[in-house]
Amino acid sequence: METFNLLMQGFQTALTFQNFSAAAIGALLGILVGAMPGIGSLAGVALLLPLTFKFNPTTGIIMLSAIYYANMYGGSFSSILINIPGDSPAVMTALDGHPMAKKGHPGKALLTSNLSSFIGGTIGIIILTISGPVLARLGLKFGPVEMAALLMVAMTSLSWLMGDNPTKGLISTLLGIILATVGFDIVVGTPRFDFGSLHLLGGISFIPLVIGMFGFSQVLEMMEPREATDTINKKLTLKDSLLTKEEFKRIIPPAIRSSFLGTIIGILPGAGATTGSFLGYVMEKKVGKNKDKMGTGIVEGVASCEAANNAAAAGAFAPLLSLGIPGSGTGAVLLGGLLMYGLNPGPLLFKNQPEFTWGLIASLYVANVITLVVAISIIPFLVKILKVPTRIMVPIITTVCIMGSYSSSNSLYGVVLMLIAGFVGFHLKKNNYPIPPLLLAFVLAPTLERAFRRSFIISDGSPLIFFQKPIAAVLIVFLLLTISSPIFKALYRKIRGNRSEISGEANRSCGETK
Amino acid sequence: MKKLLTALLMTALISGVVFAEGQNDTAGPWAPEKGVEWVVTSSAGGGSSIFTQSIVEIIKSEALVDENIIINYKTDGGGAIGRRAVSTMKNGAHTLLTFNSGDLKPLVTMEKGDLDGLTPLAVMALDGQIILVREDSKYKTIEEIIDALKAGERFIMGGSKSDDEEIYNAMLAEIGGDLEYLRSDSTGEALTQLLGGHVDMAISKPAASFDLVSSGELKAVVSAGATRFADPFDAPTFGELGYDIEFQIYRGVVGPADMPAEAVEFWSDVLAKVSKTSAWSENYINKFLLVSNHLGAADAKVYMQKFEDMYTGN
Repeated sequence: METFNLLMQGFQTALTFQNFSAAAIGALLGILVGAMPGIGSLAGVALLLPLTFKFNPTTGIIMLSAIYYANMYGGSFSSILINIPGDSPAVMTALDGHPMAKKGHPGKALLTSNLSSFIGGTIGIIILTISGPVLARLGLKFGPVEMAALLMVAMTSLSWLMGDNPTKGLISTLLGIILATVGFDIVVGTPRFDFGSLHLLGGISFIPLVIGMFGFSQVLEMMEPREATDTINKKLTLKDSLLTKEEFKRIIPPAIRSSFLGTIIGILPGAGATTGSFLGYVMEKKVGKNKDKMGTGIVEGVASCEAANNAAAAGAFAPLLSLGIPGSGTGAVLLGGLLMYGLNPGPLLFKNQPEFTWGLIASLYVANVITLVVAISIIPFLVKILKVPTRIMVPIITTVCIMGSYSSSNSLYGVVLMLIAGFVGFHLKKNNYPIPPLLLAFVLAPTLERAFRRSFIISDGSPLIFFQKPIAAVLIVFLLLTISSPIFKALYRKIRGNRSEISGEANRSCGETK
Repeated sequence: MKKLLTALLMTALISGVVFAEGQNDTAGPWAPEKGVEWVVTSSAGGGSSIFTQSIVEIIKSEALVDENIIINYKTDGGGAIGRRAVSTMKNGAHTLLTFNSGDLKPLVTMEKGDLDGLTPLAVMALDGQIILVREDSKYKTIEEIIDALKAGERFIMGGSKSDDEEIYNAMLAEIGGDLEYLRSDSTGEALTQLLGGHVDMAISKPAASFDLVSSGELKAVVSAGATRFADPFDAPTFGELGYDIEFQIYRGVVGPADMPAEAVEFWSDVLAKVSKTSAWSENYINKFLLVSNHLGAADAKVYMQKFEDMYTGN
């Protein structure tokens, strides 16, 4: 009850006219910055953070959370409209979002993305309000061993994104892992595959890689001789952007499922929104009603990853506020911002500075609503981008690619990397090698490697440790069942071929691969 | 006629330049003309981050610098990228870098750099490291841990990728036993692992673990400095226990090698002013149990050079 009162007080502070307008301005700027590829939520928050220092602490924090949310919304815009993910979680959004736009429903894709972001954010914040500190404690149970087990499950789930040719999918995944090994060895700190270059020593940066693989390779594709089918001549009105009642109903179940999953992933130390949105999408691909159509441009695909992404972002606040430990790069920048306001996140925060803390949580609610309104109201302008003819789009996207890759590291290294990635990506795509597994493997591999090697340091080299810790053991058993399920299935069919009635035990094993 | 004109023009130009130089000298000291970027090469929430936040806050509240200061966390490549970016900056009067002994060590041992690539502006304080265990740990004092180590028990020790590992190496050499080091990206990560019970103890600076120790979740068992810390970090030093393990780290600020002299003077002066404020001694030095030890630009260079010589073995 006390919690509730404090939250209400928080709302009172958050809803003054000044704070409200600060949040609206923050939301608008955040969407614009977040929509620029290469800037994404991490750099976006960092860029706009100084702006909030002009206000008093409460207003500043509210504006900051609006910027944070709006950045997450904006990241999906470029993904959907021009197939260039603004940040790493948006890679998943592009899978269904861009095909939807190509089919002539860019408005619907954007609205789906915004609505599910809103649902994800809201559920995430509600869970945070009720049980943030408790959940942060549970998250601590995920040490290196548990994380290694979880990431092994995630890595094997990549097989569901591999498309028709598993061999090519596997090659693509392994390419991603190889690229991820460049740079500092994360466990003992020695350089790997740097070839004497300081840029390579810092590792291959994700943003230029993603911009090249998705964006620039697309420019190359557009310049090929092509059939005249991909420009949209239909008139795009606001009405087209609205979802039908039936589509709206289709969004709700995946969005809610993903929100819960996303919040939990967000709370785990070091897992982050990318893992969240990826697992949300994969889960939908396994259990959803339209799972066979995933990847062809359906609302469920967009809803599942966007909801998970924003829920994870809210979940990441739990360890940030109650332990003072940021769960992601963006979290680290936010922590920096909170420290500037004299707010010391940590176990004493809820006790020592309750007004401020609950004010922050209340402002997350307010920011979420305002961002939704702002985002929806600019959709009609955004969808016009798709009506721009190819001959004008090519130079524009090229410029955006170069700018985005330059600004991610403020050096030409990013641009060179982007161009190489674009060239490689173009040829991979032409030869039907799927790109998303490569990028996701690139994101997941370092975390997996770190957790895996740390586990062996802890166990002094014994692999038994994965079975000694209960959480890890459950995950590993799940993993083994998933991997071996095709064998069980084949066996099952054989037995059924011989006999007509059998015990349905093998039936319950978890996976079915295609 | 033409020659005369050329000569006149040259004289005019030269005197113009000289005049401008003279003007510059009398126009008062240099001050930043645009926003200032302050680079921190370790994660937000760690010791360097708190150090930098505290200075920036004081600069703002005392209005020592008119322009905005933006803290930029560049943690790629263990900080190597950020350090290289600052050191190679041309005419960089508007860039600062938080630089402590933990940053100097990888710079000279792994990145083939040295202090000549940077301009020391100040040493602000001396910090110490402390080893923490969980409140409900099986071993609550360093004596118990040492006994268990000698009895052959296995311990995992967490710490950040910076100079924390030196303490582990020294402990291994002085005490021995089955002690393993789990290197984390940041002190925050090491503390998360300690809280979750994935490591048995962790090395931290008092600033980064202040809340967790004050709230009683973590407990200090031994200090790696020359003297004990005050409460709540009160614990024996290794010296008291008869081991030759003593580390001290400095916290300083540097700029690019190519920082103009007048900017060096300006920043050295601003940082000296910060170190004299009561906010600095109350909200940073005393609160996080550091030792105030301000050195200006020239002295800081000599001081940091001693550390460099130690790391390179010269």
